[in-house]
Amino acid sequence: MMATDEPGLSAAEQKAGTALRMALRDPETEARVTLRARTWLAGPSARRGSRVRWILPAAAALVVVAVAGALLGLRYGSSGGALVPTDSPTPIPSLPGTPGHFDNGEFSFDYPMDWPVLAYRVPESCGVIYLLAAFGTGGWELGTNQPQANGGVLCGLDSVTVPSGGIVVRIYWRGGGPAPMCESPAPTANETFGSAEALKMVNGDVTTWEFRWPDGQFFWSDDPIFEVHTSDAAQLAKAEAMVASFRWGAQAPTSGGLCSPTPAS
Amino acid sequence: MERELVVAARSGDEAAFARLLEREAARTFRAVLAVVRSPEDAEEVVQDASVSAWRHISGLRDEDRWAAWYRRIAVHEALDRAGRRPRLREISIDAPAGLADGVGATRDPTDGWDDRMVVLQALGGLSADDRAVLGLRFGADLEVPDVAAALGIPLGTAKSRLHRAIGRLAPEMGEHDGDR
Repeated sequence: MMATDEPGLSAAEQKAGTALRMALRDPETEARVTLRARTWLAGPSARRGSRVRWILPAAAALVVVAVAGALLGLRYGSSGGALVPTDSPTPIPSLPGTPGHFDNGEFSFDYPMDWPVLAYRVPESCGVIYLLAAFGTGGWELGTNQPQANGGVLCGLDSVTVPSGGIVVRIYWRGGGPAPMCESPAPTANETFGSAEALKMVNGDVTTWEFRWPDGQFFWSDDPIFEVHTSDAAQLAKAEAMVASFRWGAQAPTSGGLCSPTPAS
Repeated sequence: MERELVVAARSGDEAAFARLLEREAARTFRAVLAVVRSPEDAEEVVQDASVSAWRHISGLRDEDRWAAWYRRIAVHEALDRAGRRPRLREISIDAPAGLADGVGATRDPTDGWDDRMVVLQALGGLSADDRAVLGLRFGADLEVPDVAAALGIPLGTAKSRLHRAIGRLAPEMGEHDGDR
């Protein structure tokens, strides 16, 4: 068990082993690491932990625990969820009827209850993409990762099929990647919902809204992205209403002012 | 019990995954610390390894191999980091005065912070692979077969690497007296 029990070692080597064992003890950090493990959540907090850990106080993990009890997840049942109060009116009509409501503490949004859930919480494309949910009246299929002869892996992308008059919505974020870069000038939002700033892009029948962190920039990993596939105007209007209900929550991610101008000293 | 947790985690049960992580986090941290030699970096490595494990646990077919699989991810992450930044934190700016003058041949290696720094500094004289085997054996307190499993190397290789590494560490610490 102990280093001093290692057979075939000199006294000095055994002593080195003992010293090494003691040197590698770090109760404070070990406690923090264990706490973080215990409070594991596969949501954005955990995923981006490696990137923003230098700005997150250890207490944040405790906050996550408190929030965990309130984690809702998308509701599959027929009963509708309550609408969240919005912090400012939006120019887009609300969803008809009683929409479902998603809130993970970091962000929230409403969604139509008549769109079947096609997928929920799926790491895909070798983990580069984390699909929070796909729903709508079309189809969704997980991509297949294919091992290559050279030992690499061809990461499969998921695919959607949209029937005439139908819609598929993917809500996802890009995972991992390098630390965020501060672009100057930063890309600017072209739509704002409450205090949430979005970059809307249209490519044929695919419309995307990317939400930047409250103090972040667009195109960072972990930005929530709503990707809407439809050519139907009524369906698109419902999707727009869903997107318009997006709000950052109390646990919204922060870069700690990474890209803020450094105040003069 | 662990098998059940792995099965549950594989199907997306985050609570089960948390329990698996909790069991391994501290010892994995210690193993990784030997490789990267910075508590901050080691903490980051463990976190990155946890994220990677979550993303890929669906591909873990053998439930009994969870611990070895997770440690291997962490060690590889640490080796990768050590390779990228081999000597970034050789001596902390907070290191005690006089540390850079030598490795303290007369120090008692069981004494406090100074010697901890000495040991971490001495590890810098070893290859990352040697640090990994030492970290798994003396940091994570793994038996040699488990060290081999975590590194994905044969048992004999692990044994010889372990002896070689500890043999190299002792003189780095200024404690080698040639006795056997």
